[in-house]
Amino acid sequence: MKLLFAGVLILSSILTGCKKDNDPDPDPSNTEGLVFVGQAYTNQGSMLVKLYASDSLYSAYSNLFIELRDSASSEVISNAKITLLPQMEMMGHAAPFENPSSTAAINGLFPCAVVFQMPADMGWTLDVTAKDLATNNEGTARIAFAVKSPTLTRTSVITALNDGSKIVISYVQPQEPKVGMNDFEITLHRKETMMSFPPAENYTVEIEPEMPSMGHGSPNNVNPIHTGNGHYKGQVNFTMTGEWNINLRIMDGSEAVDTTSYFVVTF
Amino acid sequence: MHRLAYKIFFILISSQAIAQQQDSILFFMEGNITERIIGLNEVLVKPSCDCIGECSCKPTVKENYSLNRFSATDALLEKNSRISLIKRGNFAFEPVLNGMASDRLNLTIDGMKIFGACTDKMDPITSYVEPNNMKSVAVQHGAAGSMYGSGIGGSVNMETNGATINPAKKFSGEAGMGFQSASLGANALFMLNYSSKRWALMTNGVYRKFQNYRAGGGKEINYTQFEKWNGSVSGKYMPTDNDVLRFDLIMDEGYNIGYAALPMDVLYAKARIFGLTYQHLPCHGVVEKYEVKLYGNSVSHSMDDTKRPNVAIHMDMPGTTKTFGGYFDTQIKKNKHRITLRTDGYHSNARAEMTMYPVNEAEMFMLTWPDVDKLDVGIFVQDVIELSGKNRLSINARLEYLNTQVMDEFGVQQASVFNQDVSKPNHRLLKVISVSYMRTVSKSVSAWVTAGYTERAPSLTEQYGFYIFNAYDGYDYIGNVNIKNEKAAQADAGVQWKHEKAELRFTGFYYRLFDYILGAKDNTMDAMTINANGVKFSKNIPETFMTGGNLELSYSPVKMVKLSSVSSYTHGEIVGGNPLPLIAPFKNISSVKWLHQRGFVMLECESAAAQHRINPEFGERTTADYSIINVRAGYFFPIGEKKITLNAGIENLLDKRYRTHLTWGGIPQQGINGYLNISFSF
Repeated sequence: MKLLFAGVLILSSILTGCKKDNDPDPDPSNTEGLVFVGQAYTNQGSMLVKLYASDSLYSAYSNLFIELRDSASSEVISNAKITLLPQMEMMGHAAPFENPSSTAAINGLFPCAVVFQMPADMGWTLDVTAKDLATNNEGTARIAFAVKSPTLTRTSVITALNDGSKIVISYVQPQEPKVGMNDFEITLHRKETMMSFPPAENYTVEIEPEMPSMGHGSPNNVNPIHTGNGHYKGQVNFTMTGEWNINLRIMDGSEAVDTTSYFVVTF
Repeated sequence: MHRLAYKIFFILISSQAIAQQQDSILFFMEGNITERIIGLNEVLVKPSCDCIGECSCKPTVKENYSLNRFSATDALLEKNSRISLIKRGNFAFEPVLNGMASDRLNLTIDGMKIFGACTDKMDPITSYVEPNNMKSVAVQHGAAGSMYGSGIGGSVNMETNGATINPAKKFSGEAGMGFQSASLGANALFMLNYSSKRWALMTNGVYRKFQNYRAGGGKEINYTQFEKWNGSVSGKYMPTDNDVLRFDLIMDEGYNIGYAALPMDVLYAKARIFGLTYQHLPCHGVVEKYEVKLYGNSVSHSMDDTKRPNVAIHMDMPGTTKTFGGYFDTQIKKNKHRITLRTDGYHSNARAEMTMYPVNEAEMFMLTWPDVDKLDVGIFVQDVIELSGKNRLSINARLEYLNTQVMDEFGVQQASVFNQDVSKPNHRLLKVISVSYMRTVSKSVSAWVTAGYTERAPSLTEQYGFYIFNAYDGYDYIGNVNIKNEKAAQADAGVQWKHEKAELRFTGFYYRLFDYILGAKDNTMDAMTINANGVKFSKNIPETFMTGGNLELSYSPVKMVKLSSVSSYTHGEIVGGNPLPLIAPFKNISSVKWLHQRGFVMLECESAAAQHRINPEFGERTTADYSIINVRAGYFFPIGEKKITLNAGIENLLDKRYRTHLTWGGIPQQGINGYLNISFSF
């Protein structure tokens, strides 16, 4: 009899537990491990834009995540068309960026990216223009934030040796370098005007890792090749921990674009 | 008494079985070293103290004086004419048997597997045991040495003294000091044995401190200093006449060891060796002896470049090995067969790191040995068949399973740099078989022949080494996890003629090696080490061969005078290619010795031919011929049962500047060197 009573108790607690799980989750977007950057309401369309990043913002290629909510119901909008415009208004220039590739949110978030070319305590803004595809509401929100200077240079602008154009070279990964084979990725963007940075897609890139204090490199590296949207992906090998330079050689056909840039990796 | 005699007889016979195909350098109970090399089919009479009471523990070989009581182990090994030494400084020479260095040999202490912790082979395990703690060194050639493991060149087992049970003499011991001039070296040693009726305890120790030595002509050779001590404790207990329990503990520590041929020295080298042995000798039945041994040891080693000028980047390279294992032996005698069965196994872990400290930059770190676990089990069978009084057949076989696994994920990642997957365990099966036939042709002539097939697994460096710099050829070496086992088909033969006044012995060997493991240049790779010539990967060379022989002559025209001459020659070649690297040239040691009841005087001439057969890819250089003259003398003063022994000598009397071919870095050998040793034994 006692046992039966206990059983009923357990069963009821399970049932009530299940019931709780069925309650609508007020916050289904998964922002765990992300850094909250800032938020703003859209000028029209009644939406709240929350901006997250995978790390504190540095002058580097930065992965960003946008959460969109209906400002009245607070419900997450997971089907929207989003376009970005990062600007450093004081200097009067924009930056290379990547809009969310899909109108469908992933875990309630729209992943996108911006290359912040310089650090600033203030002055960087991101205009997020969103169109809720369910309601056709549309509006733009402006979020302001600071961008720090990284310990190692992660983005730079070079002047192409062949045609004098300006190219933004940015380091994407490895973010957590290890001894052995690492995925290596950079982005190239052409700086057409102060406000226009289209991806540079027709270059070939060669890499050569080197330990500056030892003068040696590493074998079996895979030169990055263009995978779309200005991204070049390859593989880099580190034979030991320490300070490595990844030397770049960028070619436009048979013409050299840049032969002196490199990224430093220390681990 | 009858039973005892029976037992002694069996002990002699069983040692005879072990002695087959063994060259042995015998040492006396008290650590005295004979100058005698026991022949292959002579009986190795172990000074066995497996018996007590009426059984005498004195060996039957006539007591003699050592040539130099304070020699290091490696110098003693070299007295075997088929052993030569690779020298990188003035300490811990690497033994080479039949033209093959330690990777191809089984080096054991009391049958225990011990692995050096230095990736650059600065600490062959011969450096961790001292002659005053050594009873004998058993050298077996090729496949015939498979009792101690699978190897190509053979095996060298150094047997330690242990405690002596001798109730007739409660305390026995020795203390001595020695000095030598070329390196202002000082040696000190002691030994103390306490024996009760059924148990005994022994302790001994050696301390050595040497400065830089002077080469012929007087030039001081920097970075040849060293300091070390070695201590051991051993106990033996016999609960019954048929049971022996023994423990051994050996500790060895070396400090500030110079390696003139290498870009850095050794900060410390430390070994701790433990062994526990139980023997049961049933008096009846077919089983003569059971033996169980359990052992464990650890070796740690670290290098030091802080005393060198102009070091581009300072680095340290600590390494450790930890091994435990055991074996179980059964000896059976049935009719004409004497069968030895051994089941053995060990587990070993080796890890070596390298951290470089550049100025104003992040430290650089890698694993030169990526934390590798080795698990090895083997079975060995030997059947000695007494065909007739004059003919004897011996069959040896061994089967061994080896499993290696990289334990550190960092090591797995490292290997991926070279597209090598070391994440999974590596299995190997090794097979060894040999057959020997011995025949006593006449009263004075005997002969023997051995044919064998053997395999060895790659060494840790050959399989998993990561940028291990070899100062000889200036290349960084990288292992290959999938390298094939090395194999060899071998033939060994010898003939001996013995006369009242003269003795002649000739042995020869021909080893055909398949999948010979050697570093091969890869020009696409950058060297890691600054100023290195490039990178070499372990590679199997389809076929090589190694051949050679030695001739030993001795003649005593009168009882007090003995002339002797030992010559040896080895020839190694890659089939259709270059000579194999680091092969010693023709060498001869001749001596004339005048013997007195209490002493001797000896004039010795050591000569080697030039070596022009070199392997340029290995950075080898030719070596000129040389001859040096040594004078040695010994004398003892008896004080009742006790005695004082004096040894003195002058090596390289003419102060000749020379170097042996196996010396690295073109460093000349010691010049004129006087030594004086005095010891008191009781």
